[in-house]
Amino acid sequence: MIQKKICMLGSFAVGKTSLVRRFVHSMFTDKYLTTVGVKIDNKKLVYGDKEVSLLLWDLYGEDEFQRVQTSYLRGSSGLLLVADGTRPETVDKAIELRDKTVTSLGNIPYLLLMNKCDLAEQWEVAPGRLRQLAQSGWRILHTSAKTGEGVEQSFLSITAMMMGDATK
Amino acid sequence: MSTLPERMIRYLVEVLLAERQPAFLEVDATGRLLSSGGALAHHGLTELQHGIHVEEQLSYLMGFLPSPEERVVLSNLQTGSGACIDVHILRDSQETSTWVILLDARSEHEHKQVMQQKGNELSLKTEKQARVLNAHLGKSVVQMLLEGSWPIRSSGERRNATILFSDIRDFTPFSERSTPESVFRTLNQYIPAMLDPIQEHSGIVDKIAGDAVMAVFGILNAVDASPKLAVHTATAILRNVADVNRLRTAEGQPCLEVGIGIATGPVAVGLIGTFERRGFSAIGHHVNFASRLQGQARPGEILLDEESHRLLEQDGVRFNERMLQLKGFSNPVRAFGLFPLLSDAPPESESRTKSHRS
Repeated sequence: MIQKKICMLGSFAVGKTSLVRRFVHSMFTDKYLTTVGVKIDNKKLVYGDKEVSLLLWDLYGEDEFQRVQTSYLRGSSGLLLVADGTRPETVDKAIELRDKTVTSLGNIPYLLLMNKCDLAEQWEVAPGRLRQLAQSGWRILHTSAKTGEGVEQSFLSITAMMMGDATK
Repeated sequence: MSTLPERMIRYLVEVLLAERQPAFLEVDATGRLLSSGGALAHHGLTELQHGIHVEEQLSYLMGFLPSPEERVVLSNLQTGSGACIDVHILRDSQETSTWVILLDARSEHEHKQVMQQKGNELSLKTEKQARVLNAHLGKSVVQMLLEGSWPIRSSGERRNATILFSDIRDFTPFSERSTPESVFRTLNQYIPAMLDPIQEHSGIVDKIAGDAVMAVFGILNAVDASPKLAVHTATAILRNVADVNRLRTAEGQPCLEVGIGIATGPVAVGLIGTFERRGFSAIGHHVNFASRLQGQARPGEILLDEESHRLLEQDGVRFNERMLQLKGFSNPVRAFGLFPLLSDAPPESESRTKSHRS
């Protein structure tokens, strides 16, 4: 079986834990519970004719008081950078974290998940900003841990990218 | 640090062992488990197999063995079933094996969780308040209010300022023949196109009234003089509106234009409202003047009063002068027009204009 480590990175309270919970356990709760340290989960899936075990490292959200330690990232094959569409500054944080990981991990596959798309009417991230990011090479998917929209697709996409298939 | 008495060291080790339940794994240079010991059962490690790769037995150590660094600490790893551990990875001095030490971190984790939860909830609340305030007052105004460096007396004072009015042309007939959804979608395309440049050029948004925006320059600190800031803002507004129109044309939506009036002079500025809810406001003749000029500006035109124009004269920008009879003004006034997005100004009405180069 092929084993791949994926790190969930982003600002605090953007929904990293909820996305993993939705993907692994098909569950969601509205109650915000901050992650301290790292939550490690596992999910097996079939990709083509191969069985893949995803090791999901859900890291604490970065804020002004605690920076993500790059040692946690070691061994990662892919990154899911998560931002909250209702908080524009979380997009900046995702970009900053991606830059930080390039130094320690090199250029590994990554996706930007614009989470909370169930709250689309409250989004404050300008569409132009996301267009600009997409033009500069970012692959962006819209997700909602609450409704499940785009969640499975995101994990399947990053798996495909890690397996060397960039078209999925 | 002075040496601790042996009795104390023994005691501290006992406390540490009881609380942290250390277990260890010794891993060879190829990542295989050489030996293990300590409180393995406490960490659920009852089926470890020596000679087998550790990563196959403990998947969370994938990528960490053998360790290229002398020491790596992974704090608060929650590996499922409620366990929470600190993992210390140490390379031995001979570099032949790596030691993995597992420590129970539940107690520290619970403590951190409470503190972090409170901190993050507070940060979310503060972020939200800042976003709401920024959206209503502009970032620089909010920052000054928070820092206590608001540059005017709340009770009111007279200041020289430049007033800018920007208005969407023919919006009322458009709104009458459109659905409410279309009206608000359109406003939410054009109004941000006007607001962003105001804040970027140190202006204060005084009010948004339907399809019009009023801004004040010269209150917030800036390097440039207020008429210059206002004209730069107006030019940026017209460019943004042209971008919106390109987008709307592509969508098959009707395009709208804006006209802008600018006047400079003394105005009364202060805060109006109750203690709980109040906002910045500028009042006076030059506010009306700018509003009237905006009423006369043609689509895509910036129309200045004489004082704004005088203060801009050294910049060498070419304006077209014309005399206007404005409502509420007993005598005709000189006004100076500019179409910044056109290479040549459009022909003026013969009876009331003459070419003017400043």
